[in-house]
Amino acid sequence: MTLEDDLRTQSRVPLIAASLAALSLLVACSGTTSPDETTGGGADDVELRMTIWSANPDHVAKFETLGEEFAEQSPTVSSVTIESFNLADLDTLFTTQIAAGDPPDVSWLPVESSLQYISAGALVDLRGTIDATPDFDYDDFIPSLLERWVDGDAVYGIPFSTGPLIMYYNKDLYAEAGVKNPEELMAEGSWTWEAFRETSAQLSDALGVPGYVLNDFDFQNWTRLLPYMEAYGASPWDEDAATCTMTSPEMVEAMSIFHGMTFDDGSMPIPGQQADFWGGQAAATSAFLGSSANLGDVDFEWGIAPTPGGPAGDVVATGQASIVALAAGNHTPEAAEFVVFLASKDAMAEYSGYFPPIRESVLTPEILVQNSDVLTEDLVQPLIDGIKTNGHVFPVAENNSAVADALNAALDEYLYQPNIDVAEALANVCVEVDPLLG
Amino acid sequence: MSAGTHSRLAPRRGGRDAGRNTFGLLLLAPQTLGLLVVGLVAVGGVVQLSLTNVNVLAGTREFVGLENYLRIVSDPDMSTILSNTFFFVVVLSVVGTVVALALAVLLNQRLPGINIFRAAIFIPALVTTVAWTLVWRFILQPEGLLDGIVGLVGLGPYPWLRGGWLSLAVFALIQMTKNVGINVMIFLAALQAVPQDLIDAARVDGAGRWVRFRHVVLPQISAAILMVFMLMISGSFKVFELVLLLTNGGPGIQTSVLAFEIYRQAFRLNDIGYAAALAVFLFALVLLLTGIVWQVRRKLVFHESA
Repeated sequence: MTLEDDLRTQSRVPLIAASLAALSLLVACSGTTSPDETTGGGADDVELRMTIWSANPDHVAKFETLGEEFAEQSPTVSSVTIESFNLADLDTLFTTQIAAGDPPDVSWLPVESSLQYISAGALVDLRGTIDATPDFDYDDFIPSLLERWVDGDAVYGIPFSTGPLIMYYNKDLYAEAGVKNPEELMAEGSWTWEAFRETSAQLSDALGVPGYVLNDFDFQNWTRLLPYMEAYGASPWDEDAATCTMTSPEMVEAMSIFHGMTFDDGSMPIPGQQADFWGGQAAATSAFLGSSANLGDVDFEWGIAPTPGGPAGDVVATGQASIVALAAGNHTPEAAEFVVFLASKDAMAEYSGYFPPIRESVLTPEILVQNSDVLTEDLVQPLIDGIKTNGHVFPVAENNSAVADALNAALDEYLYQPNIDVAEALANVCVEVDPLLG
Repeated sequence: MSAGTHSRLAPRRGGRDAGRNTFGLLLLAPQTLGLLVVGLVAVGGVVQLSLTNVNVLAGTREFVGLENYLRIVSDPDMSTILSNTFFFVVVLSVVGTVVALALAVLLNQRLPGINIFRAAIFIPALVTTVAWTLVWRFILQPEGLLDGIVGLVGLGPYPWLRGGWLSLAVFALIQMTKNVGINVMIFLAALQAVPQDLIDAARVDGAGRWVRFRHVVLPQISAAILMVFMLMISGSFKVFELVLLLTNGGPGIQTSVLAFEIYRQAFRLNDIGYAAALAVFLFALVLLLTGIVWQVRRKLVFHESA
């Protein structure tokens, strides 16, 4: 063999080896990657994954700690991972991950989605696990606030957070504008949307910042309009979610206030405009109790109040979210156990400062404030009273993704526009939404 | 090396070629296999999905034949979505190609500092679409930069992203400024490859600036024009990030396009079967349009005589 040949052979060998390696790697990767390894009997090696839509470090840390506690006491679970996602991506996240065979085992689920997930059989019935847990005390939960998650004997989710949107406001901005703040309006006994609309407009005129902004709204999430709706006794559909009621006189009145504040008074941001209350760019916002975690970082003096009342009285517009175990998960028995663990008295007491429970034994001012740097018993007492006596979770449609998508799109197209007739716009909204209900 | 070695090597050449070919094929194998797996299998999977009704949450899938395709025809939203889609296809392919060509001609000059201009046009093509779009969202927000600029001449404020033709025009502008750089580069390369003697000969024959461009330069770069045009057609069907990030297709579906509708049906409305049918429909549309352009090329492209 000549030197030339020799060199060629030598340089070819590693190349061939490399390409063979690449090929075998490809074969290996496209080969058997079956996801469903069944749970090894008794081995302490099950890794659970839980998804939550809060990225707040305090919230994540709380659930991580509880996950560790659960993993320690469980004979089969070795670890629990907590992952955050954006609530708007909920359906996208679940459908992709379920289709890929790798869904989260446990997750938060908003009440809007309850019926859809339950009727699709996507949630694990927790009844057996609850009954097998001696000190769970199921009767401790307020039954009327559980109803969206119960079907006969079956229990598909445990509400961990049931609470109203509450008003957070920036005392400094009100003082600077020389306008009565919500606390002062409440003291006067005139804490209504009409009065709040007026003070918000005055504040915006004086300071050039929005008087009010809906938290997490972005003109894409109709549920953030609930404080308006509930104060006027309005709902997008009837109790059975069978007929659109966006055209009711109450709804027209409620939405007229919202529309007027946004497009006539300029006291709320218009579509596309950003205003961050927590950054001091708006005088007030309505958000859930969990958002109080943001108050630790703000550099203004703040207050909280219920959202304003209206003709329907002081009804508390209640949102709700549950912890559920997904039926498509790979470790459903352990997932159900983890859900029930998180719903136990001790665990709920841990996070109830952020997420008001409907477990009466832990729905007390002392427990709600124990882990919070910002809340006081006086601040949360009205909240608790509201949940216990006036709490009302809005009716839920079975095909929620389609209904919510149509409602949000139609509101955006017809109502979130300047210079429109509100009643006419809402009639158009019903034309879009009605065919999907019932 | 002696003549002897050559003659000794000659008979082995056939074997060596065969070995080389095998080696070449081996090198190609991962790529080809990957393309087959990722491409054909996936396309086949989508076609199969499009004939079914899938409920991911319930884990069910039933065969429904062509029902999903019939839905496309009867879907009242489709007229808006398709006209928006074709608006982008027409505007981005025609205007996009013309603008890129005009810019390339302008930039194809020997001027001091011309590279700065070339870079300025090209840089947006290097930025990710998401970042580019978010910058534009900032520019377009109410009382934002653009409102400020048009306000200087006493106009506006305009609802840039609140639907209608205005929003579509804004989208077309954003998409075009993003991608024009790549096309300008393709045209610049083609322009610089036009033989100078052809141009000189035309000049000697008394051809003016426009005639030289129209009858000498343009035929020489017609292959590049065709390529850019075809890329723009298939690319403009895929306008997606803009819609998702700026308007979510709204208000209503006023700014939605086919690619976005596929996403909405599959991942927002959990209707994967219908989304798959829409995807197949989109695929057929792109194939058809590029096919037509490819057929027409023989008449238009200078070097294509076959």
